Amino acid sequence: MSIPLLTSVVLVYLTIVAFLTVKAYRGTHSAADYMLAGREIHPFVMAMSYGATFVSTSAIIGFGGAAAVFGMSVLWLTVLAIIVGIFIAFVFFGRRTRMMGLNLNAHTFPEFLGRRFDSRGIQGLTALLIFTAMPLYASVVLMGGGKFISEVLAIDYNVALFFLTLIVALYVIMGGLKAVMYTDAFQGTIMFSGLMVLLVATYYKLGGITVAHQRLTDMREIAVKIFGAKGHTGWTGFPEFGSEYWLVVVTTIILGVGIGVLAQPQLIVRFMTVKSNRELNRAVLIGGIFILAAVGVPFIVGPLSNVYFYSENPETAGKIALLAADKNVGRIIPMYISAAMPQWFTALFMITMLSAAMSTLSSQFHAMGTSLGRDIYEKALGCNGNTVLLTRIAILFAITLSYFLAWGLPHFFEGGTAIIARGTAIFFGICAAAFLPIYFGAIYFKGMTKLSAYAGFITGTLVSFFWLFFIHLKESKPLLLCKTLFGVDSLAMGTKWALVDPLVIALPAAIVATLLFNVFGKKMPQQHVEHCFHQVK
Amino acid sequence: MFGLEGLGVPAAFALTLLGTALCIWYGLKNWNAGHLTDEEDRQKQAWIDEEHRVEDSL
Repeated sequence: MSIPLLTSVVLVYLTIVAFLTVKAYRGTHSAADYMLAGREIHPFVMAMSYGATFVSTSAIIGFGGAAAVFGMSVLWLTVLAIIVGIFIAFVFFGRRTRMMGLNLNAHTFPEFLGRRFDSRGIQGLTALLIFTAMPLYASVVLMGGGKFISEVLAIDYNVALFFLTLIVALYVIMGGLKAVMYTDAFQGTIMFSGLMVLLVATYYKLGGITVAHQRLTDMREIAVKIFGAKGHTGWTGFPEFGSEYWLVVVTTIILGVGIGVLAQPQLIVRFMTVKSNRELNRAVLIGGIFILAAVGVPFIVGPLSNVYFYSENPETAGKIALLAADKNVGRIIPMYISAAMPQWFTALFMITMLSAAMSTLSSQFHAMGTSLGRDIYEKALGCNGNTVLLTRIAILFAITLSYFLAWGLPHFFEGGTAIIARGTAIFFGICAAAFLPIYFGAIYFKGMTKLSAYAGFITGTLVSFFWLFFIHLKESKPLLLCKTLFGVDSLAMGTKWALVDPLVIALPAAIVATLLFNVFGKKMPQQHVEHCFHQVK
Repeated sequence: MFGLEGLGVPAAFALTLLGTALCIWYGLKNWNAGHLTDEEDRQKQAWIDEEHRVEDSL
């Protein structure tokens, strides 16, 4: 790739990010500015920030690579991302969250729950879960970004990781959520443009929409020959019902992420950053279009890369995408871009990937920092201090933790690539099980008790972790705890339970626990409930 | 249909586009609905004032 071209593009990009950071820094004067962007965010910025935070390099490189293996059936995640992640989230969750958040003066998601149930314990525990589980998610996003940069620039992974972390750390710590959201909007715009160009170029290169699909459909026999034992039925078909691939696609990818999106702390907090419901209504339109491109394109291009590698690229002729990338799922999309796209697009895609990584990372760092500084240290532990300063220190701590995880993970997990998509799905699944029942109850049920909130949260969390450590083979095997204690990789070894995602078990369990304990718990004071639900409709 | 086989993937394509159309329709229909009320504005200002008081006391 042309180094002067790439350098120029990166410099322009970083200059704009720096400008937006300074603008945010100058406009940040209070805790509400630092944590909620002053509750004055424009709907375009809100929608793009929400989408860009949701869609990371994991979604594009990790899930795009996974789509090259599993096929277009993963497009069902795009369906859920648009209908659940945007429409239902904004219309049925966002408006209530914004109003209740204003009534309670909540600055973070844990604070929102803590004040709704008048419990510092709930605030502290939810923040603790965010602070312990999110570093894994942040580290895989860092890995995705770092690996892409090291691949494109042909530099050492550790060097790429260090500079990526440093740049994001600077603007998050300086400008708080305003810097995060301004840069997200800019980065989201780049992502949208880059992915649309990628989609059009891919279809054009492979002969048009129908021809490209047909060529992929015609490769069915190859897919069945290689992956047929696991339930593959071709890249334009759905995996065989109940097969290993069906379980992974449906329970981990589609449901894990598609339902988990409703309960992401770093996304929920964005509902509280806008001035009124009008901004949320407008953001539905912008968010829907953005997610169509950001989540849809990788799931179309990924499978189609099989056609390119198999029959268009002389160097990989006769090889499907996975084999062309030496069985490294995370390399499929970067390899496809390098081989199939013109040089100028590689530069644009480099910036697209940087944007995807940085927009998600900045929000994760901010969410972890506010959880530690505001929710745990200041509120749950009752230590007073300058909120903004405490949060800045906490963000720095969270960034350091994620950095070291991203540095160490590639040595631990099978080349470190499969974990990119898996880490995302794990975090989304844990969030859905732990937070969704309590969050849904908080905004919809006036009669929900503190006991049932605790019960739902604790059940969802414990069942998720139990399933991850002892049942779900993909995690229990590398985590080694099950092997150490019981001498087997999974307690469900040899059965299909070992392939079922934790979410499928933990979320229903959390819902049952929430409903059951609501019968026994003491009702919240009527005056408090009325205050929470004032003007909420 | 469009070179795709079976029902699962074509249905996903169709629902993806319909879902986006739903978001566009909703956004346009409610473009000017839900403007900030005076009460919300007062509430917001009250929290800002309180935060300033807390910061001053620290």
